Formats: sequence, structure tokens, C-alpha cells
Amino acid sequence: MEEVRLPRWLKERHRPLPSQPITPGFVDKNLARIQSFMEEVLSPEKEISYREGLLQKLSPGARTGGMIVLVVSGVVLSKLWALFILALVAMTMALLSGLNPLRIFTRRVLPPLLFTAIIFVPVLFSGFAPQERLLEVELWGYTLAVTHGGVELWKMLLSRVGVVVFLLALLMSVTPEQELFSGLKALPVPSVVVTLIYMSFKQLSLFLKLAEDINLARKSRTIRQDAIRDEGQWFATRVSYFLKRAFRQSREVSMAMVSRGFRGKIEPLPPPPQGVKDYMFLGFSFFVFFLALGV
Amino acid sequence: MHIPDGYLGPKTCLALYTIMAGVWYLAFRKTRERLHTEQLPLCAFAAAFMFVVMMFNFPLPGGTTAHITGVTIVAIVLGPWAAIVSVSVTLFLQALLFGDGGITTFGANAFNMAFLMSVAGFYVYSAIERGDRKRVFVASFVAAYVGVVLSAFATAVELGIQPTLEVKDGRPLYAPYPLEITITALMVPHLFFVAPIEAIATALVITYLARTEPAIFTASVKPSTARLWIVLVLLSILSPVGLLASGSAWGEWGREEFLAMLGYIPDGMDYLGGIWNGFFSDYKVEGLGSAAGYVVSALVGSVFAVMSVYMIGRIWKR
Repeated sequence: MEEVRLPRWLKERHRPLPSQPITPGFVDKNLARIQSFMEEVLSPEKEISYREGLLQKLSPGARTGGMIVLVVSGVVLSKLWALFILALVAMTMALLSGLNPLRIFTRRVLPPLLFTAIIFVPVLFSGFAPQERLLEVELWGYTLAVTHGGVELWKMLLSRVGVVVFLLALLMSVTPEQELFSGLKALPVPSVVVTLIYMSFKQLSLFLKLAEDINLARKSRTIRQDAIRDEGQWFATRVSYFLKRAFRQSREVSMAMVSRGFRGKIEPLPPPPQGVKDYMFLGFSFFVFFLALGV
Repeated sequence: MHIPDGYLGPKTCLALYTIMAGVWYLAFRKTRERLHTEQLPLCAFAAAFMFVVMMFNFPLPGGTTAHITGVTIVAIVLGPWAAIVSVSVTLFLQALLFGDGGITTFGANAFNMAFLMSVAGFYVYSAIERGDRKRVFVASFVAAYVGVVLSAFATAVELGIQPTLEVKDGRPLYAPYPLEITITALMVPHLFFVAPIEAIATALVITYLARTEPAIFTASVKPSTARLWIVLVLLSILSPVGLLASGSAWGEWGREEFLAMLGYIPDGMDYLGGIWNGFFSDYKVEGLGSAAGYVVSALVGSVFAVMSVYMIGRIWKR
């Protein structure tokens, strides 16, 4: 039997690696952000946009245009009761489109609403709305008074933000990305702009995959955290690589477009014709808008 | 710095959308003239690049991280007009997909980040770098810093003027904080944290690109002092606008104002005040009205400043 000779390096004894735990660093945060975005954009709830609901039956142009007009109406409104009615209208539209308004509220509306609520807390106090005092708070020798006017102002600001964000979240829930871009084409948005937005969106998923791979490669080679300077250098080199890759790919796409006859001019297909339902929805949106102007 | 829906009133949103409509038209035309058929894919890929770069965290001491926008990087590499187009697309996608920034405030966000940051970043970089690759790090650092600060200032002003513009029955209808609060609240973190981080990251990336792939820099501006002179003269002519503000700047009170505020004049001020009044005291020139005096003072002051810097530069070079 032949003698098995082990290579010299296998016989060398290595000192064990220091057993320091690797705390999540900036690479882990990169991966978490990318994954969270991919879940949001490629969410399985997109199947809702293919159901036969009230908003799904409308043409993309009417749906997008009508919802944007409702969003503008929400911004223009300054009375709490009017915002409440608009919120009810939005929730009814969500229910008739097969969506759960509470789910939209907790997933999409609550985070920006909480942020706004905290930012606008000083509005509750007498410095902004010096009216009838409801509550007085002693803090480090200072007296802060919560006023009735401050509470009303805070509720109005929050309600406006909540209603507007809900309307936009509703639009995004019932509209597949493809229809969103064709909806923009039906509005007075130049076709070159819509094409540009569409091309950027299509590249996103490819770039996100590349970004994920870059960060995973770094993570797989990390046994301990590097010095800040080296991590910064890595960041700069990877972002530069990304930019070079983006430009190289754009040149290839440009050459492919030119070879297929593109000469710089966009020839858009005509948008689908609007039906009676579409005109009714647009009419309703503008009716709400003109009412909002008068309130 | 993305302003959400409901924070700005309709007047502000409409005004900024109108301004941006002109800017977008000009930007599209300029990029089409320069890039032709490459306009669409290049701007689209640059927009996607910025979107993804905003997800890259930049490591900071203490284990914390921050993320950059990448706007100045794209502006320096592609030029301001292509950057305006690309950044606007990125902001639109962020507003739609992430709810980061509103639809009614898209014009305002585009004005602050797409227009101001790109234009300031590119021209500051060009003015400092002036073809000398040794200055790339400093030029890109200062360009990104100025861009972020300018953008933050514009955001603060837009939010701060809401209590004046949109009021009903004495109650603000939109962002309720006045200028004093919004400027302080936004400028302090941006001056000391956000802008330096963006500046360092931008400088590192641009320096690396300049060293490894200088051909990627497709935009350039011929160094020209004529534009600087035109801007200086224009600013000098506009200097009397400050006369519209009533009262004195904080801390620049005269003897009469102290007497009115305190009821007496402090001894030190009484003794030393008025020892030196300058050649153009209170920016006035004898025989000229206050506005004309302002303009002459501004022109004379600018000429002196430029001559002093020029002389110092000549001595330094020796």
C-alpha cells in the first residue's frame, strides 16, 4: 500500500482565530435594505391588482389620473370633517376593489403617519395655537400648555397626511407597474419621460441583484471587522465599479436600440380608449376636487 | 430631505412645479443635444444607479452608518443637465415605490435635490478643479458639501414660509414651523453630519474614478472668469434688496438702539463705539441715495476682495 503523504501546509498548526463575534456591520445593513426593498416591490400582494374590483376595472389612465386628482384634493382640504369624508370615500373604494383598508393602513400609512405625529408634537402647545388650555404640563421649571386649538391643528395636519398617503398606497396596490407607466402615458406626461422612468425601473431589479451579490461577496469573506478607512475604501471602489458598470451597460443598450432602428424619437402607441366607467370616475374625482376648493 | 405630501401648500407646490417644468424642458433639450440616442439609456441607468447607491450604507466610526445620495457624483461625471434628468427620475420612483417624498411635493423635491444639488455640485467642482487632477478630492468634497447644504437650506425655506403663505383664521394650514425653526432644525444636522458624510463619500468615489477611469468624466466646463464677474456684478446691483428688511441685524445695534433696548449705553461701547466708521459708513456714499450707495459699496468691496486674493495668489505661487 502506498504511503499517503500529506502536504506540508496541512501539517502546520495554525493559531485558532480569535473568537470575537462579528457584529452586524454596514454590509449587513446594505443587505437588509436591499432585501426589504425587493420584498416591497415584488410583494405577492400584487395579485390584488389583477382582481376584478372597482378600481382594477378602470383604464390605467383614468385610474392614475383620477387618484392623483383625489390626492391633490386631499392636500387642498383644510377642514377636518372634509378630510374625514374623503377618508371614508377612499376606504369604500378600497373595499370595493377587494382590499382590506386596515392592512393598507398598517403597512403603508402608519409609518409616515407616526413620523408626522412626532414631528408635529410641538404644535399641540400654546406657542402655536394660543387658545383655550386643556392641559398644563410642568417640565424642568417650564409650563407647557396643550391647547384646544393646538389639538385641532395637530389632528388636521395628521389627517391630511394620512388620507393622502392612503390614496397613493391604494393606487399602488391596485396597479401593476406596467399599467402605472401606461397610465402616465395617458396623462399629459411626455412619452420620452415615461419611457425613461420605465427603463430605470426595469434596471432596478438587475442592479439590486448585483448590489446584493457585491455585499454577499464581502460578507462571505469577512472574519472580523476592518478599519473604518479600509471599509470606506471598499465602499468607494464598489460604488465606482457600480457606476462604471451602469455606464457600460447603458452604452450596450444604446447600441442595441440604435441597431433596431431607434433614432432618438419615441413613437408611443396610442393609449387605450376610455370607457364610460373611466369618464365617470374622472368626473367624480374632479367633482371632489372642485368641492375641496370651495371648502 | 424628501418633503412628504401635506407639508407644503398648493401655492408653493404650484410655483415649484412651474419652475421645474422649465428646468426639465431645458435639461431634456440639452441632454438630447449632447447625448443624442444615448440620452435615454444613460439617464435611465444613472437614475437606477442612484436609487441603488442610496441603499449602500457608508461606514462611520462607532459602528454607525449613513447613506449617500450620489447626486453630486452623477453631476460631476455626466454634467448638470443629465444629472437633473436622472435625479428627477430617481425621486419619482422613490415617491411611487417607497412613498419617500410626495406627489404634490415632487416639484419641490426635484427643485431642491435634482436642480440645486446637481448645478451647485457640478459648477463648484469645475471652479475648484480647473483641470488639475491633484485637486479632485478637495473639489469633489467641497462640491458635495455645498450641494447638500444648499438643498437643505432650500427645503428649510420652503417649509418655513408655509405659516406665512398658507394661513386661515390665524392658523397655519400646512407645515406650521416658521423660518427660525426650520432653518435651525434642518441646517444644523446637515452642516455638521449629513453634508460631511456625503462629501467624504463623494470625494472617495470621484478620486478613485479619476485615477482608474478618467474617460468616464464626459462633462466639462471651460474655466471662465467672465461668468464669475457677471455674477458678482449682478449680486452687487441686487444688494439694495436688503434695504427692504426693516430693523437691524441681530447684534449690529447702534447706540440709539441700545439706549432704546436697555435704557443706557454700556461704558465700553460708549468709549470705543464710533472710533472707526470705515470709508463707506453704513454702506452710504455722500451725495448718493441709500440704494445707489449700497451698489457702489458692493462694487468697491468686491473689487478689493478680488484684487487681494489675486495678489495673495501671486505671492503664494512664488
